[in-house]
Amino acid sequence: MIPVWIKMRWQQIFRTLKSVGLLLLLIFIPLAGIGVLGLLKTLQNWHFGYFVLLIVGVITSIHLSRGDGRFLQLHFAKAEIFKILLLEYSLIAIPFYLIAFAAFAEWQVIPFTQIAIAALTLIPFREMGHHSFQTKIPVDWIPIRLFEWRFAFRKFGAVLLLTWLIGFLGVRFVGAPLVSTLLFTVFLTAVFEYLENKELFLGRYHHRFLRDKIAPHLKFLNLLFLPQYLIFFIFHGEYWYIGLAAAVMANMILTFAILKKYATWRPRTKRSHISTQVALFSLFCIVPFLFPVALIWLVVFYRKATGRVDYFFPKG
Amino acid sequence: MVLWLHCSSVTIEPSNHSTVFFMFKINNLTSGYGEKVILKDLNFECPRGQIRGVLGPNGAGKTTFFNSVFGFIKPLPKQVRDKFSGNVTLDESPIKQEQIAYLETDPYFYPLLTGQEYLNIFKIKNPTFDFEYWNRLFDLPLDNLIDTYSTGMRKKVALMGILAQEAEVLLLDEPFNGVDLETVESIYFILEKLRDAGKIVLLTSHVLPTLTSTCDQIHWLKDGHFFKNFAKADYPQLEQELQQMIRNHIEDRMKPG
Repeated sequence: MIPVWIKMRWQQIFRTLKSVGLLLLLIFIPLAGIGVLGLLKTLQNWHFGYFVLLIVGVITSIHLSRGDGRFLQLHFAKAEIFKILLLEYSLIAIPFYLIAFAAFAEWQVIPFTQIAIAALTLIPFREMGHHSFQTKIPVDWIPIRLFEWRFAFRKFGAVLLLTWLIGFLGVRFVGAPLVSTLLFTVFLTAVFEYLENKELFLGRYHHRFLRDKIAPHLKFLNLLFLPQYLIFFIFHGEYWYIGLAAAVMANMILTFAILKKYATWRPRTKRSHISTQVALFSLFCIVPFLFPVALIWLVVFYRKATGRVDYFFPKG
Repeated sequence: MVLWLHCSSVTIEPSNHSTVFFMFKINNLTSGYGEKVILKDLNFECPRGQIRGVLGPNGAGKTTFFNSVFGFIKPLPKQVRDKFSGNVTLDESPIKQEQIAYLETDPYFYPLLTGQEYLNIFKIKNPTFDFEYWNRLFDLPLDNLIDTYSTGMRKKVALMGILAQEAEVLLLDEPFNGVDLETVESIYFILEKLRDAGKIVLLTSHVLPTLTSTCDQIHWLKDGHFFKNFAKADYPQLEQELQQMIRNHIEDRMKPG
């Protein structure tokens, strides 16, 4: 069982890397190496327990967001699911263990994390079905052309509200709006994995489709965060560049998610798995020396999205 | 008596249970979502080697019925836990997960995997299952990514995964949905083989002829229970009743005022 599962996951990773492209990988790998070295330097001041929490936090978010929970429950017994999850999460943790060992030279990170991972695998999968309370969440204030936003608020409105509130509740801290806007935007991009059908697409299509698609989304995002930006500038005017950076990054991440959605759109397909690349893109935005890669990606995916839209709906 | 079915290189081997005592039973199944009760004290039984159809309008609870049989409405909110009751037995013992295979209307597929790689997941449990034989029926491009498959092709590859489980009870939720005429015939062929092998198959469909062509009995799901059962001899009556009911329903709705 384990070799088959590892082989399957490896094939997925290989194809994902292939879709990223050799050129971008050649740029990304050395930059990631530099990033890891920087991380190692920071980590040397940490207690290893925080690092365990970081790894467990990353793996928990993967566990709670995985879409194959029902598939696993349908086809595997509980003990088999436990083995699969333990295997996957342990493999994900290996790079973290290597970093931890290089930073702290302490082996305790491994047993503590593994115990936490084993406990984590016992957390039930989130039910993905429709819940009656979802229709009770008021979304009429969101323009219908931003249907992805309505979907997001129905799907995880509480999380979005909470991340939005972080900016206000943490107004005393300079980093709060940065965390709030970025988390909010990254959560929001999850709904751009779902593709509208051809009829809906065709009904709205015209020659400036992409630009007219992106602009209202960005306007709405900035309108929603305008109070936060204003409060931030009132309290932390001297750090205006942090507020600006948060706004720019959030806009870029949302634009990328939309471009990625249409760069992979195809008829009769409900979902396009964009989350890995959106996560990578967010990383490129956040790490200053990777920022140029993010800009290049925006251009590359704008061209890809335009090409894809024009392929299915040629002009004229 | 042990039933064996040999079809070319494939062997479907049923369990060693006797034909006489082998029975699938659902007792007083009650289930729902949130505050809504969808199935109320539903009872059902089916002997080995039969195909049963479940019929009902959209929202009647067909999928909830399958989900509940599979034990999926396990719920977070207390009100659901309070509503979920009943039991499902196979040959007088509580049914186990490995005895049921469930084809969902909209099955999940891992991204960036080929059809063959997807089927290899099922080889973990059943390494001898001959996918090549079954693919002679479906003619799927198993080396292509599933992401490029059409709706019907996805349905076929998911069905092959379900067959590989060689479960005693198969729940097929709208297996005919989105497939072409040739595939409909292929599914008829598979259902016949499953019946001959002594399996119990429950299936739903919105296309009445697909049920009347295959099922030994059809159960009409309404108001949370099977309010009427139709044996083969009653199928013409079922068709008439259904037509009449739908017409009445439409006329009622479209009455002026």
